[in-house]
Amino acid sequence: MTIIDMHPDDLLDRELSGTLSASEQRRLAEHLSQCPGCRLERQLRDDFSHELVASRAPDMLQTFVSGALRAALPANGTTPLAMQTPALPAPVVTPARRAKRRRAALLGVAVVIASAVAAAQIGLIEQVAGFAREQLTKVTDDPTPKAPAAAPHDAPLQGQVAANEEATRVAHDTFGDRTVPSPSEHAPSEREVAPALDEDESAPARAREGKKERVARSKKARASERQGRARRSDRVAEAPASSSVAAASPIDLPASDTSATEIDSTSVSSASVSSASVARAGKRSVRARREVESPSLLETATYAPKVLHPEAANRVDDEGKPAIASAVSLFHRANSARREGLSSEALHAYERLRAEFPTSAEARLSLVLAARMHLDSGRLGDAVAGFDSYIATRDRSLREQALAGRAIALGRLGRTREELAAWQSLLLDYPDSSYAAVASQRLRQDQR
Amino acid sequence: MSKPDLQPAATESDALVRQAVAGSTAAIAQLLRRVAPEMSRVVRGVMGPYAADVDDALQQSLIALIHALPAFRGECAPAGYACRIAFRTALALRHRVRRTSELSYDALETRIDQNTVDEGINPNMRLEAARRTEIVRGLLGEIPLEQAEALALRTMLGWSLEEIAHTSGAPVNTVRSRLRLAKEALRRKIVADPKLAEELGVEA
Repeated sequence: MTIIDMHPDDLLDRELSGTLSASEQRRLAEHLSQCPGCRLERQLRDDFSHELVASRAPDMLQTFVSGALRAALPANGTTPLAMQTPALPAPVVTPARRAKRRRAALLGVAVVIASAVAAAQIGLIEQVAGFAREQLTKVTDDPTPKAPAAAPHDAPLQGQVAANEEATRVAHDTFGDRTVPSPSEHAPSEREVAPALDEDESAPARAREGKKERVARSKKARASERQGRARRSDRVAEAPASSSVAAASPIDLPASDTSATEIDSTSVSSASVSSASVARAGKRSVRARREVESPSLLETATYAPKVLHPEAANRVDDEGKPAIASAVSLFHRANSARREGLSSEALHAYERLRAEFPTSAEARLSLVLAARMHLDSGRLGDAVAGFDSYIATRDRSLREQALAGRAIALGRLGRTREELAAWQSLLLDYPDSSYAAVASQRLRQDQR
Repeated sequence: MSKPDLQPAATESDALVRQAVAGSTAAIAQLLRRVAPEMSRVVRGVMGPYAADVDDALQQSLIALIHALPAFRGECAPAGYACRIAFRTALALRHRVRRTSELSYDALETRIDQNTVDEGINPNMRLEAARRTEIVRGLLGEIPLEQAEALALRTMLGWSLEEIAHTSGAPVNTVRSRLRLAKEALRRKIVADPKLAEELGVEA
């Protein structure tokens, strides 16, 4: 048995741990000089050792572990994630608040119904009272107009107003702690609205006046809401003061300065819905603002090159500028532009890269990327030229891809003979290529 | 490179492994945290450290380990068991991924990342290393699984023959034979391309 047959696997292992004696080192060296298999194995171990040196941070691995637990284990009462990760933040809406909101909503519905009934009664009684006054006037022939007596329905209306007040107070109690400390500048305070509730007028006139006021305020509210929407993207939506909530649709932010329906019971029920929409809209507007304010990728892209040896970062060009950073950053900027769909910008950056750093690996690789872009855009001649230029550099990183791209471009150009030659070349050099099936098929088609 | 404890479940981790096998969520989580670094290394070795699906492969490997725990008999170290599962999961995923177009921008960028040239030190050295490791990755799917596993555990994790034997449950000489056959297949693959063989310094 020759020395080649006796592969010293144990010596290779102990070389890794640094426990070889001098004689063992000599023995290993002699073996390696004659055994290409062990040389290759040793080389591969070294290659992988450098390649896989950067392991993931523990917290990132924890993320994978948590994800795997969630995916693999059924929720048997105790959620695995709850056992492994910190406690989640408390939900914004507690069950108690939810119950309060539900009560307010039910109260609002009741108030709506009562209001409708009362309004109907008011209308009817008003008609009756008016008729009665007319008749009374006719009968007494007293030219002096008398102040109308307090109508019997004063009490119900006052009760209605009181109910609305109560609803408003409930809404405020429910959502008061969710409002921002300072109400919207456009939202009338409760104090502004409240006095209307305290006016002491005769019932019919008060009802008419109230109705007029409600209509006027409603118009004002709609106008204000339109203005508010225009300003909404600039600020976080604020939870409204209870009395300023308009009868908004669930997905609309309540108008910041509405006041028309401050005692409208419908606003109370919609407040319960729009409060949630306020929070959502607030988040949306913050997110939109962040997106608007964040600079473009090209402006802030910082390339972290996957450099396996840190010394490379210190390389400088003839002008003393950090060469690796320049070529790499330019390459990265071009790639970012390409991903963003800015084709012209990307191609220009690739050209500049090749002009300023012609010997860099990035410049060579950019030939394939640019050629690929030409292929996409139908600039087939430029694509072929680009792939040819890369192949001519004798760089092997993307040679297989360049050969395939070249063949595809030639085929689309109708240069069949050259296309078939290109496919043949690919198959010869890369028989295991993922394009082998395509190449074989094309060659078979030509033979028919 | 640091190696995990590949001895059969020691007394301290005996209880942990038993609880994990029995289905204790806390024990499973703790076990996963212990073996995840080595599993990550295996996955990155098989997929390529910059492959687009390396995270997916790691996640799937961890899930596969959880599912395979009931079958673990404690005859080898949990880390070894986990690494074998990671290897097989990543290998299967790599084969699926490889079928996608290699002319896509993602594929191009992945290959570019894999072959990043460190011109500050030696522009050729890193490139050659990247090519060698990529050739090994390509070979893993072309040889019998046991040979591929032995080659991967030996070169990517630096395991000794005894450790591989213990983990796979095969005799040391069997593992030695598998490794020899894998290395021969690798050499044949490189030597088949004279230019590549010359570049990588592999003699015919």
